[in-house]
Amino acid sequence: MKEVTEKEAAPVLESLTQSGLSDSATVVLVGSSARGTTHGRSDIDILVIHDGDRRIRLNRPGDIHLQQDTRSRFLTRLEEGDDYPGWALRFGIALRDPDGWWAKQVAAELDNPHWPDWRPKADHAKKRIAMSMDLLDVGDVEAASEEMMFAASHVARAVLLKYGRFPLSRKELPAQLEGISPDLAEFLRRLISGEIDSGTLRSGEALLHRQISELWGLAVSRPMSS
Amino acid sequence: MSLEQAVDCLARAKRQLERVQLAAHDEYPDPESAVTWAFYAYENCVIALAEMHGRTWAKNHLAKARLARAFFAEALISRDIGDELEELNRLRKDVAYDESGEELEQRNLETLALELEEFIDEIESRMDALK
Repeated sequence: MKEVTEKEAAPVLESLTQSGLSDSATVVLVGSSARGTTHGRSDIDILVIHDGDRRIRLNRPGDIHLQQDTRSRFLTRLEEGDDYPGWALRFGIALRDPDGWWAKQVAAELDNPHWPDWRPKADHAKKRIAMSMDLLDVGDVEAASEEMMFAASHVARAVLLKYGRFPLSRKELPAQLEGISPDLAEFLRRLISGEIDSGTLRSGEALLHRQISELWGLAVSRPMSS
Repeated sequence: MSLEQAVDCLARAKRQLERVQLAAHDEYPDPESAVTWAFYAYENCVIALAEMHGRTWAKNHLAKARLARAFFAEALISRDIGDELEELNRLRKDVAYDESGEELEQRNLETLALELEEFIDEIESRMDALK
């Protein structure tokens, strides 16, 4: 998998060389590609972490979703409870780690794991739900479904984090939700498979709002496992 | 070929353009909404063109960007929006994941709305010629 992705990530790696960062930038495969759960519409998610103090311009083909961070910002996000750096450290696959910085962070995270804060996920889900409903109002069911999938994924991650399960890739979320929220698991499963109409989206909106309300009403639980 | 489908898609794109224009307003700019609405509007434009010319299209964002390039290459439209579609796709995904940054801040929303409007106008003109 790593070899295939390295080939697909070649434009990003080439950009790093051109920027003079090939010897210092860490490149990590994240998302469904790292979990081996890609589907037809999956992007290749790549995280670039460099030791600079500002963003760098990097080439990327259309199917690469590229995130970049400075090392200090990445670590700050981790400390602040953002789930993205935590996910990358747990499940990411290093494509380039020239000075061993990444391996050191992974080891540190294993020794002292951070548990992400579920609340930003729930808040962000509300925005995607609103966008989905607006798209439905203009008659774009396909776009509304896509935005609803983002929303449902955010809610699913919030629920799992609150229940002490570290969320995996999107395709794996429905299985993780079984036993916690079967309705949300089924809704997300349908969104992923594309079997959605406007009626299902409307009932899904209600489901997600209900889940978010329940999240805020639940007592805080301790992490149980990853 | 389904001109009826094309008309529907273009009407949808126009409604989405209105949301882009609203989000691009000088006094209350909303870049996150602007790029998201613009992305979906452009995609509807591509579908409208495909339906106008009896071309098959797939529910895949990259495939739509490729189709947009093909329409330009075949002179079915005067602007190649392939790169713009890919860029808007990246920006709206950053928004969806709550990861938007400098690239979004640097987008000129007025230009975004204007170029989309011109694109829709051109498709409408070409559609009228087919009717």
